[in-house]
Amino acid sequence: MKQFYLKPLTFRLIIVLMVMGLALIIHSCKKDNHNIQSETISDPTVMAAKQWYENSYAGAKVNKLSTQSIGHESKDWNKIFSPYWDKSVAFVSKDMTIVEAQALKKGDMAFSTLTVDSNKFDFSHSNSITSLLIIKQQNTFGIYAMTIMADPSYLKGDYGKLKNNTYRNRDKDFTGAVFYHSLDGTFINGWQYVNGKVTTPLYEGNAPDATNQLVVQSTGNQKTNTTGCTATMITTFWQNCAYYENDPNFQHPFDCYYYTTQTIYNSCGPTTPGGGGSSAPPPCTVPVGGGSTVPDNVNKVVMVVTPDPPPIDPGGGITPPAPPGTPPNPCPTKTVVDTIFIDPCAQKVSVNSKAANSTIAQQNNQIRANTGANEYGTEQNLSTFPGSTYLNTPVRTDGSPNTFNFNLTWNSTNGYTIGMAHSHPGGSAPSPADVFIMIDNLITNQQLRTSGATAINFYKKNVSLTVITSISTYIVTIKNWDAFQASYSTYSDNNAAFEANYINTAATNQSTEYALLSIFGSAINLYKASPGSTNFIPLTINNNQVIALPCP
Amino acid sequence: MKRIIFLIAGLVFSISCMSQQPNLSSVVSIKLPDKAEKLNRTQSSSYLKENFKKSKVPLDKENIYIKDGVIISFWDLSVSGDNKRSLQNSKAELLEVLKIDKNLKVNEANIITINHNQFLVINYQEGDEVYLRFYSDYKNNKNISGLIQFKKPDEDKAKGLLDTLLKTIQFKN
Repeated sequence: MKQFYLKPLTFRLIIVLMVMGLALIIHSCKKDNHNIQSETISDPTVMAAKQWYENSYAGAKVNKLSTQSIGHESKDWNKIFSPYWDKSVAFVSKDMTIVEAQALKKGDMAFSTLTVDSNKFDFSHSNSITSLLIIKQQNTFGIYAMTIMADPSYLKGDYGKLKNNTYRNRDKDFTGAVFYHSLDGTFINGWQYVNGKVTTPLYEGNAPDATNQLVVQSTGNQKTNTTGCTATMITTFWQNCAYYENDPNFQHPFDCYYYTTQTIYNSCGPTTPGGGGSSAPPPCTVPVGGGSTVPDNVNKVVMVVTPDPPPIDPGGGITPPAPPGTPPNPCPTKTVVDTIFIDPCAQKVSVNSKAANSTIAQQNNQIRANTGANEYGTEQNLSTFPGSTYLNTPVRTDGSPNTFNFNLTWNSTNGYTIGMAHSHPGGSAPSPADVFIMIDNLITNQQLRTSGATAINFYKKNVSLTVITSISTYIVTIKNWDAFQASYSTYSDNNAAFEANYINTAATNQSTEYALLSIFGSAINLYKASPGSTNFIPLTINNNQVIALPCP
Repeated sequence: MKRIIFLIAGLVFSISCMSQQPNLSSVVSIKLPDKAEKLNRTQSSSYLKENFKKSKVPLDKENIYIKDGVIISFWDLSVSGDNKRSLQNSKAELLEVLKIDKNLKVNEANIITINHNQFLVINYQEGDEVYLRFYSDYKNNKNISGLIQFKKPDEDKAKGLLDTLLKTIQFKN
């Protein structure tokens, strides 16, 4: 009988293979733990643009519920698009610094000349692509959504070609259009291209003298009138989805619905290429001396000016065509909006200074000494307005473990309430209801409300909410009143849902500090100090952790 | 003979490896209760919508399971050293914040020790829907937290599942 004895070499080979096989199996058994990585931006230009953006558009980040979604049929592009900072490039063109970022989209959006049902549109076969441009000129920032819509004759069914076209680079045979919109959805300007050359400017709505003109040509959704203006109906297809809070790149949409909006764009003038290089020409320039600036001082009032449309890099030095001079002028009317941004690091000095004020320190110590079963508190009232002397308002309790009622005044007799302090016996950070007292007072306090713009601005810049616990003291100030008011509006609509979200976020993350910062985003500054200390440190969230914000 | 034993041992090891539970946490080793079924996000969302009036289960978390009508979820947490709190302080903090919602009723909150690990367990309910939250103590500024959601009649079953789960937890080095 034949014996199947293995030769030593074969046996050793089998052993080696088995060990390798086992290693493979063990390795395959281990599951990866994919953690969300926080954005790490090293380019200072991109960081500056990001800082400006977050200060200017903080409202887009606040009020996150367990899921986040935009409102039905929102035309506020700011709620849909945000810069994908990890996928951005910074460069200098002429005297401007430009950051071009891919657009992070809550849902999707596409321009098309198709008129199919909104829920039948295939976004993966869209012939448009939108990115965001953050442009800085002379310390003035502006942001634009740039939508490149390619003509089918250029794409030839290859939708991947769209990505060849960016602000700086455009295919030599690109035929289509470029649209610029501000983030409130306002059309800024646009240009048509034929074979990589700019041909004509685009106008939204009726073109000059385009009303009631004889239609000499009508093909599909394009109509050409006797003035040579060609009107094109562009359908914007929108996909609106919900996302989970920890899906910052909006990669897992659910509960999507679809709708469309339609806009007529007119191109007027000769359709022969008028010049231009690889990109479209600038119709206007970013205004000098206007625009919003990066906040760098305490309580700086920033004038936000809607900048002129973005200039386009002319590329190869070819003279761009003259800007359109006939109405409607594509240059937008400048609008000025007052807002206040308060940098937490810069404000730290004044926060510490106020906490060190002898009257305030004495009140805080007295509140802390009473940290027991019930809440204690008092108002921080200035004796004069403006001024820095505080009245010694009495520390008291309502005899409740979770409520304290303030007596807020704005007069020379009882003082000018510029802060509120109370204890949390359980050690939790300020709650949303605590924080909203600061805006409640502004709305309901008749004396403050009618005291004039100077007083209201003073209040907005200086009001603070202090919560004292046995292990920490917290101070909240308002970083961005626009964002804070937006948050308050959501709270007013349904304060139960707002608070339920806060409670659940705190319980899930085992931190009321986290919940507060997470829900209010950059609308507030949150400071913390050890008991009795006047060295307050601003807090922030980084990589799902509450950390001390590093200040210079 | 030796070769046969070696082959059998290898086979057994391979099978045991294939049947092992995946790495559910980067902070602790943890074993699921027998026959607990994993739910993906869509399944979790659907089940919770159909069976509960409200849910506090964080659907973005990876570990969501169901066993006998009880939802079990858990996730890793980490904290910066400056903001670390003792379980006693966390208990006071969370009980204070739960009081904000007048519809929530806290049934009990205890700090328990299982296998030398300390856990804060809070039992609270809204109507007939009950939540068992647990938080382990920190090791190297990391800990594990979880939520078990169930209907009031399933309370004993849910508490048993929590006990089973916590007994399997061992911090990784």
